Amino acid sequence: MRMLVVDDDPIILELLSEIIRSTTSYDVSTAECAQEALDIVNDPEGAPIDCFLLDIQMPGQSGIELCRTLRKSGRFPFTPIVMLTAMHEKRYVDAAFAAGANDYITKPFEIQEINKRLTSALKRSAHLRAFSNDATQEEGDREYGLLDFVPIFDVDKVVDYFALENYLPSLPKRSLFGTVALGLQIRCIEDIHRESSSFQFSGLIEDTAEAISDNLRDYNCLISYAGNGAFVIVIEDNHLPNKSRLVDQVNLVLQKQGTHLTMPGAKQIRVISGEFVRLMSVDREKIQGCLRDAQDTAYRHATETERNLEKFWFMGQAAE
Amino acid sequence: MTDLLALDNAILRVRTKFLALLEERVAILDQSLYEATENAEALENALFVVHKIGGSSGTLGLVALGQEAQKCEAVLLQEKSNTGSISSNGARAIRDFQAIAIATLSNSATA
Repeated sequence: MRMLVVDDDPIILELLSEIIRSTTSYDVSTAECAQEALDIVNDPEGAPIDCFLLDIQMPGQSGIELCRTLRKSGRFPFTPIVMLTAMHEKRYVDAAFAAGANDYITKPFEIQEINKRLTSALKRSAHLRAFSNDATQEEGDREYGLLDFVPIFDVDKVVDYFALENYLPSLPKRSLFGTVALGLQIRCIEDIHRESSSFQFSGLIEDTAEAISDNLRDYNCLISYAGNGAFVIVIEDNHLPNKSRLVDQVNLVLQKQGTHLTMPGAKQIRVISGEFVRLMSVDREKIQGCLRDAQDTAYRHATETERNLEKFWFMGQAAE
Repeated sequence: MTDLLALDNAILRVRTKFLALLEERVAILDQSLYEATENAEALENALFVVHKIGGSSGTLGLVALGQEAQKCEAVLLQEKSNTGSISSNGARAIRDFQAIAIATLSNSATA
């Protein structure tokens, strides 16, 4: 296992190398700028990189640009990229996660914190890689359970759920408290999942992610798929979308792109939103609770809507 | 246990290098103060130095030095967006930081 640490401060490079060598089984390579990092990554004789630790402010290409370059190369879709930086401001945190970072640690850092965060990023990466390996073995027809996180690549503002959970505690306190979460739920998801193949199901999730992303392009937000047909959007409260309008627009895009035509019985695909849930605590577990609340309210709205529709049809038949 | 001891020793080694570098960095700040008036490069150099020190000194156990570096960086960032060069306010922040840095160096020399 090999980790690449990129930082223009030789002291940080040496410090991290010592910490990682003493507390993990990783081999550590270091680079003082993005170009040197890319040279290491592209060296055909070098061992593959299993984890990146990137500073942001460096001469030449920044760590955020390097992160984007690595993700866009297609060679590191699941490799953990952890930012380690003295830049605390929200715009850097936003840009790092939007570029594909999995986590964000601010300097000065605690040694135990580095270990904890790296271990957790590696666990998540191993989990996603296992999905990817299964998909290769079964020629793209991996069995996605209803609650599984379907990986989504190359959709603007869409990040892995684990990254979303790391993004929020990385925000400065004032920015975090000015953020709300909104759930969007695909209606009748249990039926859709039961009746469709995994290929169809993952296609539906990707199409929905694209439709949501398209409609939120003018908003400062991140979007993530949480499993069970639920998406969570975290967004600044000073510029919020109109929920009903957003839902209508997403449904319209899904209709226009013909997502339903790829599903068994060409059933219409519809999403519904929950309520805005305000983030009120810096505590990681409470933040995770808020994200779950956002999904729950959307799921409840979806269930109620289906129940009301059933009642409506039943009453209609009884009246005849 | 052995690993932890090795880590402690390693951090001590890095700290020694950091302190050696700190002397050079204090000298860069002197140069920045000397060239300060309407010189954007002097401000950038000073910012670079305090940014680096603020990022690593806390982890090396030099908490007060790190905090002073961050305070100085905040003032210099303000200068950057206001005048683009080091004003008297920025010069004061640099001198305050230098005082802490020199005290840190002399404490470590006597330790």
